[in-house]
Amino acid sequence: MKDVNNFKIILSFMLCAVLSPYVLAEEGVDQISFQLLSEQEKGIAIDKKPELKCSLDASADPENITAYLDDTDITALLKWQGNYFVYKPVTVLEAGEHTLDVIIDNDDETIEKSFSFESRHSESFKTLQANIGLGLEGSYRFAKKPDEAQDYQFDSMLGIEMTAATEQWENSFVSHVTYTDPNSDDTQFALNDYLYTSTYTSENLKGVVEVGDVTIDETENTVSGFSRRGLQSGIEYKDFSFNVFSVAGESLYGFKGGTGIGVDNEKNVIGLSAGQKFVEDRAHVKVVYLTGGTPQEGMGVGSSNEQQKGDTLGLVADAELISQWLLLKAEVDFSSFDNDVTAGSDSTSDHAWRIDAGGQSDEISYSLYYLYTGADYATLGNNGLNKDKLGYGADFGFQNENHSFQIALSRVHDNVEDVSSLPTVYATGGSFQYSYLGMEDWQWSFMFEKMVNCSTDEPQGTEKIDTDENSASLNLSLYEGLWTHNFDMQFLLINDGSDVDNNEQTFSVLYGPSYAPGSIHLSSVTPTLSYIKDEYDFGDGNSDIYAMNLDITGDLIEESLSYSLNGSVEYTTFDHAGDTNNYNGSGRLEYFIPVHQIWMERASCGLKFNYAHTEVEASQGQQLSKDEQYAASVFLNLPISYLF
Amino acid sequence: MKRIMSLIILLGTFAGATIITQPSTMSVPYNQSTLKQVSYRFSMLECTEATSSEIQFLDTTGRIVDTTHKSATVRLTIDDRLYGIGTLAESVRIPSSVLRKVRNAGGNSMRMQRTFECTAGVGLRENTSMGIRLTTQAGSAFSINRLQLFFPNNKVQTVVKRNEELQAVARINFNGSGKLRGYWEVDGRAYPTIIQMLTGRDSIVISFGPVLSLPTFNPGRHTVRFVITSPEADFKLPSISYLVDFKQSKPLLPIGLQSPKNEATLFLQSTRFKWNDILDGEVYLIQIFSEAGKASLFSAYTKKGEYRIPKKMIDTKLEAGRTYRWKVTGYDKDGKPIAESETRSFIMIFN
Repeated sequence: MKDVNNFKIILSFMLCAVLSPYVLAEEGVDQISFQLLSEQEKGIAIDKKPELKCSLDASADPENITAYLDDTDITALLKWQGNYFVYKPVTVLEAGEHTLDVIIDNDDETIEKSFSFESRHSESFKTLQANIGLGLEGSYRFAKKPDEAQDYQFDSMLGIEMTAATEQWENSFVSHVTYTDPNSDDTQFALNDYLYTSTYTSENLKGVVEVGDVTIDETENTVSGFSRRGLQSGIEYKDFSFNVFSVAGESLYGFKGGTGIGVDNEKNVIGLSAGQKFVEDRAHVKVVYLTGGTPQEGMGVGSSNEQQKGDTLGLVADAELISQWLLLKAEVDFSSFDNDVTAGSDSTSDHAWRIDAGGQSDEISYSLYYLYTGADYATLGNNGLNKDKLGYGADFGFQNENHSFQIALSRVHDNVEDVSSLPTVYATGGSFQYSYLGMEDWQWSFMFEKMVNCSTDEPQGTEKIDTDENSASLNLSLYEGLWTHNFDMQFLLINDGSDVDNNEQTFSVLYGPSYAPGSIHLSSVTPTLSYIKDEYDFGDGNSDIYAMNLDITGDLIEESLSYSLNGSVEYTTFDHAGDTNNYNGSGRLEYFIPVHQIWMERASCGLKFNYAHTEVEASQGQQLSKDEQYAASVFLNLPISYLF
Repeated sequence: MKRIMSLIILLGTFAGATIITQPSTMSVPYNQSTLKQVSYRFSMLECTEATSSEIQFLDTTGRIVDTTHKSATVRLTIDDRLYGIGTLAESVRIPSSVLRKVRNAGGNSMRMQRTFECTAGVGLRENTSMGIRLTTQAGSAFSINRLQLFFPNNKVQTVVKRNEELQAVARINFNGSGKLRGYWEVDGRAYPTIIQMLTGRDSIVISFGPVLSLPTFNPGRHTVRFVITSPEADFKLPSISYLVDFKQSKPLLPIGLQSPKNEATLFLQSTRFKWNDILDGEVYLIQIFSEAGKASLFSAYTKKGEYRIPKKMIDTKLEAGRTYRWKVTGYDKDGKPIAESETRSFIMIFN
C-alpha cells in the first residue's frame, strides 16, 4: 500500500513537472504541486488576474484543505476538478511577489506547502491600466419657467485615468475635462482637474513628483490642506526627507492660470521643507519655508482679502519620550507678510509658537497644548489661520467596551501684544461628551458645552463683552433591521451679561432615519425631519423653522428603469415679519437601452426635472413675493468607455 | 425764476444737501482688512447726479491717514420740494495698512469720509462720514470675514460616481459673536436652514450632512454654495463644483453586521463573524485591520454570511490585548464592489 502511495506521489510530481515548467518555489512534502495557467514570460505571470492551479494527492479531501493567497483565505472560491483546484482572483491582483499557502489538515497530521510566484500586468510594465471615459448627455426642455431659459442643454465629460509601472517607477495620470452648453459662466470648456504623479522607489531612496492639482501639508502654522495647481516634489533618503513646491497663489479652475508653476512672487507660492528622523524614528526635526504672493484667493473662497504676499519660516521638533504615552512636539514660526499689497504698505513681521504633548493607551488618551499666534502672523499656506491669540487647552478621553467619554478645556485671549487702546477678550470653554456603546442595536451620546466670553481693560467708549453660551445635545442611533434611526436634539442658551442683556435660545430637533432594503424597487430612502425654534429676549428675530428633506433611489424594472428623487420643504414663521415657504425638488427617470457594445457602457434616455418655489408673506398673510422656477426635460445619455 | 427760488431756499435754510451714512459707526478688528456694506441716503437741492472720486480715512484730529481712489456716482430723482432724492450702496474696504497706521499712532478710532459733488444741477458739495472704532477680533461687531468651501479631498472640485455619497465643507472665519443663519444650495436649490452660534472662537466648520448627501444622480457638473443670510456677508459668496460621472452606478448595498457587536471582547478561541447574507451567489470579503492600519492584516473570501478565523491566522496575525477593526465588502462576478458594511472594532483577549 505504501508503495502504491509513493508511486502516486512520484507520478503526480512527474505529471506536474511536465505540465508546469514554471513552478517557482516548492517547500515541504511533494504531495502538492502548483502551476500558473496564465500567460507567462520568464516564469512571471502576465495577467491582472492570474489563474492558479494546484494538484494534490488523489486521497486529499477538499474538505480538509485550506488555501491562502497573500494572507487572504481563498478556500471558499477554489474550483475543484478531481484532484486539483483552480483559482482566479476576484479583483485585480497587485503586481509583484505573491505566496500561495496550501494546508491539508488530516486527522493525524497537517501538511503545509507554500508556493511563490510573481505577476505583472504586461510584459513591459509591471502594472498597466488605462480607463478612458467619455460621457455625453443632451436634453431638451419641453416645459420651463422662466421662458427665456434655453430649450436645450448639452453636457459632456472626458475622463482619463492611466497607470504604468515598472519595478522601480510608477507613473499615473488622472484628468477630467468638461464641455457644457449653454453655460452662464466662463467655464463652458473647462479643465476640471488633472494630476500627473511619478514615483521612484528603491531600497533607500524614494522620490515623488506631482504636477497638477496638488495638496500640500506641512504644519498648521505654515502649509495646511493647501490645494492649488502646480508642482510638488519630494525625496526620502534613509532618514532624511526633502520636499519642494511651486504652485499658483490662487485656487484655479478651468484652463485659466496655466500650470500654476512659476517663480513670480506675486502670483506663485514657492516653498520647501527638509526633515530628519533620529533614534529609530522616535524623534524628528523639520524646517519649512514658503514665499510668494497671490492676487486673490480664487475659487471656493470669499473674503475681504485682496492681493497678498509674504514669507513664512517654520521649525518643528517632536520626540516620543515614552512609547505611545508621551509624545512632545514644539513648533516656532516667523512670518513677514503684506496682506494689502495694493495699498502700497510695508510687510509686517510677527511670530507664532505652540507646544503639544499627548499620548494614549488602549483605553485612555490625552493631549495638552499651549500656543501663541501674533496679531500680524500670517501664512499663504493657510489663509484661514486664526491669529492674535494666546492660551492653553487640554483634552482627555476614555473608552472601553461599553462607555466612552471626552473632556476638553481651553482658555485663550486676544490682544496678545497688550495694546492699551484695545480691550482684551478672554474665551474660556469646556465640553463633556459621553457615549454609551454597550447595546448592539443602539447607541446614544450626550454632550454639554460651555463657553464664556469676557472682556477686560475696555477703553472708554467700548462696550463690555460678557456672554455665557451653554449648549446641550443628545444623539440617539437605533439599528433595526434595514432601518437606521438617527435622532438629534440640541438646546442652546446664550446669557448676555452686557448692558444690552439680549439673551438668546435655540432649540432644534432632527429625526433622520434611513431605510436601505437593497431590493429591486427601492435601493434606499433617506428622509429627514427637523424643527428649529430660535428666540431672542429683544428684537423681532424670533422664528420657527419646519423642514423636511427626502432622497429616494430605486429601480422600477430591474436593470432597465431606475428612478431618483430628491426634494426639500421648509416653512419658516417669523414673529413680526411673516412667513416664508420654500419647497423644491429634482428627479430623474431613466431607461437603460438594451444595446450592448464593447465601447459603450449603458446608453440611457428618460425624463428629468427640477422645481423651486419660494414665497414670502407679510405677518397679516399678505403675499409679498413669489418666485417659481422649473424645467422638465427629455434626455439621451451616452457613456462611452475604453478600459485596458 | 425757479433757479432764483431755489437759491433763496438754499440760502434761507442752509440745508441744500444732506447725506446720511448707514451705519454711522462700526467696530472693526485692528489687525485685518475689513469689507463692509455702506449705504448713503441723499437729499440734494436741484441735483440729479452726484459723484465722489475717493474715500478718505481721517484720524481723530482730522488728519488724512490714507486715501482710496474709488469713484461712486448716484442718480437722483427730483421731488416736490426740488430736492434730488436717492440712495447708493457700496462695499467699502478698510485696508489693514490704514488700521495699522492708526494703531501705531496709539489711536483706536478714525473716520471714513466721502465728499459728494453735484455734477448735474446746482454745484453743491457735501461731506458724509462714518466712525470706525478699532478693537480686537472678538470685540468687533459680528461679521463674517472669510468663507472657504471645499470637498473632503480639500479641493474645490471633485469627481464622483453616480449615486455615490458626497459631502461639502464650509470653513467660516468671523469677527465678534452672534448667530449664523445660512443654508446649502446646490444648482440653485436651497436646502434646509442651519442656525449656528458663533462665539468664543474665530472660525467654525459646517458640513453638508452627515445625514444628507449632495445629490449625485444627475451626471455632469453641479455647483455648491453656502448661502449666509445672517449676518449678511460683505463679499461675493464663493462656489465650488463637483462632477458626476455619466456611467450608471448604483450605490453600494449596505451589509448589516450581526456579530460580534461593536467594541466587543473576543476570546482567541471564538472568532466567528456574522452578517446579513444579502447577496445571491456573489462573494463577500471580510477584512481584519489593526486599530489604525489601512492595509488589512488578514482577509477571507466567503459565499456565506459568516466566517470563522482559522487557528493558523489567529496564531500568526492576532495578539491578545490588541484592538482590531473589521468590515465586509460584497463583490459581483466581475470583481466590482456592490455592497459594503460599516467598520466595527473588537478587542482580543486570552481565554
